[in-house]
Formats: sequence, structure tokens, C-alpha cells
Amino acid sequence: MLTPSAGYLILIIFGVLFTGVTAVIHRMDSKRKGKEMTAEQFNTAGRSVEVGLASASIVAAWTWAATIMMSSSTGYQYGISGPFWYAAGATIQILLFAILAVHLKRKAPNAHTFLEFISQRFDKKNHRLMLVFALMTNIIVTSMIILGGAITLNQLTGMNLYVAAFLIPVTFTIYTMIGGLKASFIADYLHTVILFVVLLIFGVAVYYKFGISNIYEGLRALPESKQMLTMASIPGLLFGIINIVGNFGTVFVDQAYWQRAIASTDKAASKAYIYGGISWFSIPFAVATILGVSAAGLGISVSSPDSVAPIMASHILGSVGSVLFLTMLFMAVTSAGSAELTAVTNIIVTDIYRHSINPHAGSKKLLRVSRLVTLGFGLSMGIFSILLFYLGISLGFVYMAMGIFVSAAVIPVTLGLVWKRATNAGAFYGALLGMIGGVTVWLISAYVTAGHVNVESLGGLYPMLFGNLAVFVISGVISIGHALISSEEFHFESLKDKFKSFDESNSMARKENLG
Amino acid sequence: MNDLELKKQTKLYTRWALGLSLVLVVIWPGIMFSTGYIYSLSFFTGWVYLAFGWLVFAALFITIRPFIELYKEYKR
Repeated sequence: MLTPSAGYLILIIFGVLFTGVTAVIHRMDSKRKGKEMTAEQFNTAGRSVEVGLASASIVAAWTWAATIMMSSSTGYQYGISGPFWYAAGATIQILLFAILAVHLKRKAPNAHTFLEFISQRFDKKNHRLMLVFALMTNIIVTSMIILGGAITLNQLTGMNLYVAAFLIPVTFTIYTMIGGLKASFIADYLHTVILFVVLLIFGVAVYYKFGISNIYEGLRALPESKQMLTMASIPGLLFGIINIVGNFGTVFVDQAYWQRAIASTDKAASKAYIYGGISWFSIPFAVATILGVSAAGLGISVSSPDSVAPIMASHILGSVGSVLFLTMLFMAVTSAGSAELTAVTNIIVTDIYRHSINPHAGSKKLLRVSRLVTLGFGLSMGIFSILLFYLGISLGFVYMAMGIFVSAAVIPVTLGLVWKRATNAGAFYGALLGMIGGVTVWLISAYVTAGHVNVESLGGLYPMLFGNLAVFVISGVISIGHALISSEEFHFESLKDKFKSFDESNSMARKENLG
Repeated sequence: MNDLELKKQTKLYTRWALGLSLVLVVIWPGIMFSTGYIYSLSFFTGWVYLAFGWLVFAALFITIRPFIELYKEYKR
């Protein structure tokens, strides 16, 4: 095992290195284009990102600590069906988001956030409710990502958990403050490439060192071998269904994904989600096969399946393996964290500051506010994750339960974008009652299956499944039903001029100067 | 892009997104689940190669594609 100083060293070295490299590349990039930093550029990356960079940043945002730790845990527990269900169950949301991306490009090409779109498409009430859903999603996801990273750092190096939780966000807050969304994309790219390289090293090492047939024989010798070597595993399937349902909210209600569509060119937006989804599939699929299934086959014993990945990493390559694993984890955590940071910044600036506090703010003012919000939220990310830690519930629990709290907005938001008949009341009550109903069903099914309601019974596979499904059924029935009953029709053409650039006042002033 | 092109894109990507999702969560696992096949050594080896090969392709795509775009942009 490593020492706490190794943990600090990795954090500091990578923090300084990536801040430096990202700042330099970003500076070269903007110098070459001769563009000055403006509020619009900061928050949308100029809406000019191409397919490759956009795909890389989608992969980076969707690769959490959980993608490495939890997927390996499913491989260790369920055998070969675990990695498949983890990967497939969380890839389709990215693939399906391609549909939303192209609709957004058609109907609201100048919007900054999906909430800004909601504020024009629906009424005020909906904007407020969806704002709550969106911020709740971002805060839960942020806390999970940072806490996941901090816990792993703590377990592997003995580094202080609180210090880790505060230091991890600092490493990406600085470059995001300097270069905004574009800088975070550049860092995403670097992080993703390193992550792939480390994974390839583990892949080659494990099969070269131990041999596929040895792992296979090991799996055969296990008492539960029948389940480990087939896709026809019931626990694997149940996990797959919860994974599919629960992950819709964390993609469709998370501004980070809308932001990547907004920042891309018209042509690139949807393509990036298809390519990004297919590429992302390989990460949990390979990581869980290499570190999870192999660990089960080699008979490695762990205190909890959740910690199998780092143990396997050090089993493969000793302390080098541990350092490599930490590197990979750090890459995943920081780029997913910076995606959340830019998402929250954009929401607060667009939907709170500009929408309600100072609607006439100019570009300079908005840029200053954006940077302040980035700094402020960057520093408080650690606090949120510590709060989650104090609640004392496991990350696996939060990962599975999250859908019940945030997914109610998925169908109303999606319908608002793709269907002209979606109504205000349908969207509002669909989202609100969907969440209330989902939580109720979750509590009741925990009570029915276990006879009492506590964290353990709520964490059961069936209560999670019924809770998650109820959210979709209720929100879907209400929002679709109300739209069918009333015959309102929304004209999307009316949206065309509703979204004003952050730089509007500036460019108008410039035009006047030129004229 | 004009509206007509975007409309075409909408159709294209809706098909791709739905089609690929169907393959990933219904068709592929559905076939493997319903047959209840228990992996032989050679099938397991193939499965591991699939995971590794997919990873290699994804890594190459993510690493190289942005450079090609940068190069094209630079030439312009």
C-alpha cells in the first residue's frame, strides 16, 4: 500500500501539471483565433467544438469514480453479465441524448442552458421546478464524484479524507476559472487519453501475467460458477434494469450534457453523442472485465466487493499498479467534477443571475460573475461531498437511489423539446407528482418486502426497482395524459429570437462604433 | 446548417440512437439471456478480446480524432 505522502504528491503533481498544460494550450488556441475571452465564450466555448473533442468531453463527463469502482464490483459479484449491464445500461442514455441534442440545435440554437429553453417553452412555475431538479442533480452528482475520489484516495494512501475532498476540486477549479468551458474540454481530452492508456496497460498486464485460461478455470471452480459464466444471471439482469432506469435522470436533467450539445457545432452535436456513447461503453466493459471478473477468477478475496478494483490493480502490478490506478481514478474524478462545475456555473449565471437578478448585465459583468461562481462552487464542492459522507450512506446506495429523486423531470423536459403538444400543467405536475409518487412507492415497497423502513431495506433491489419505475410511469402518464386531453399546440418557431447572447450589448456597441 | 438539413439529421440520429440502444439492451443481451448459454473457454477468450479490442478502438478514436480536426482547422 502507498503512504499518505504519495496521495498528496499525486494530487499536487497532477493539479499543477494539468492547470499549467491546460492554461498554455488554451492560451495558444485563443491567441491563434485572435479571440478575446467573453462571457459567451466562457460559458459556451464559442459553440464551435468539433466531433472529436466533444466526444472526448462526453466520455470524460460520464466516467466517474463509480464507473471504475462499481463496475468492477459488479464484475466480481455477478460475473461476465455485470460488466455488460453496467456498460450497456449507462450507455443508452448517452446515445439517446443525441436525439435531444439535434432537437435543441433546431429549436433553440442560442440557448445557454436547458432551463433557459424551459423558461421560454413552458411557464415560470416550470422553470423554477426544473431549476430545483437540475441543481439537485448537479449537487448529488458532484458530491458522489468527489466523495468517491476522496474515499478511494483515503483507502489507498491513508490520506486524510477531508483534505482530499477539498483538494480534488481545487485542481480543476483554477483552469476552469481561467478558460471556462473550452479549457475544461481540453483538460477532459488529456484526462481521457491518459485514462485509456492506463486501462490498456492493465488489460495487457493481467492476461499476459495470469493467462485467460487460468482465469476461466478459476471462474469454473467457483461454487457460483454457473452464474459467473453466463449472461443469463437474474441478479445481473435486475442490476441492469435499475442501472438503465436510474441513469436517465443523471444525463437528461444534468446541464453538463446539454452543455456539450450547446458547445458543439450544429453538425457535431448529435454525432458526438453517438460516438461518445460507443466509446464510453468500452470503459466500464473493459475495466470491470479486467479488474472485476478476473479478480473473481483468480480467487482474490476482498472485504467488500466495492473495493475490488484497487486491490486487483496492485495484485497485477504491485505498487506501480496502485499508482497507475490512482492516476486513472484521478483522471476520472477531476474531469467529471469539472463538467459539473461548468454546468452549475452556467445554470447560476443564466437562470438565476441573468434571469432574476440582473437581466441587463453586459458581457464583462457576466464574465466576472461566471468566474466568481466557478470559484465559489469549486471551493464548496468539497463541503457537499463531506455532507454526503456525514449522512453515512454508502455511495452504491446513492447511485441506485438517485434516479428516484431526479428522474421525474426526464419525461417532461424531453417532451417539451420534442413534442409541440406538451403542456405547462402536464409538465409541472408530472415532474412534481412523479417524484412524490416514486418516493412513496419506494418507501412502501421497502416496508412490504422487509417489514420495516430503514437504509438497509430501502437499498434492496426490488424497492429500488419499483421506486425508479414508478417515477417514470407517474410522470409519463401525467405529462402525456394532460397533453392528450387538452389540445394546446406550441409553435417552436416563436422561440427563434428569444435567446440573447451574453455578449449582445457588446456586439451592438461594436456595430455602432463601426457604423 | 439550415432547417431542412437539421430535419434530415433529426431523422438520421433518432434512428441511430434508438437502433443502437435496442441492440445494446434488448437484442444482444436478450439472445444471450434466453439461450442461457454458459461460456466455453474459447467463447470466454473471444469475449475478453472483444472487451479489449473495443477499448483499443475507442482509445484510438478519442485520441486521434481531435488532432485531425485541429489539423484541418489549422490548414484552413
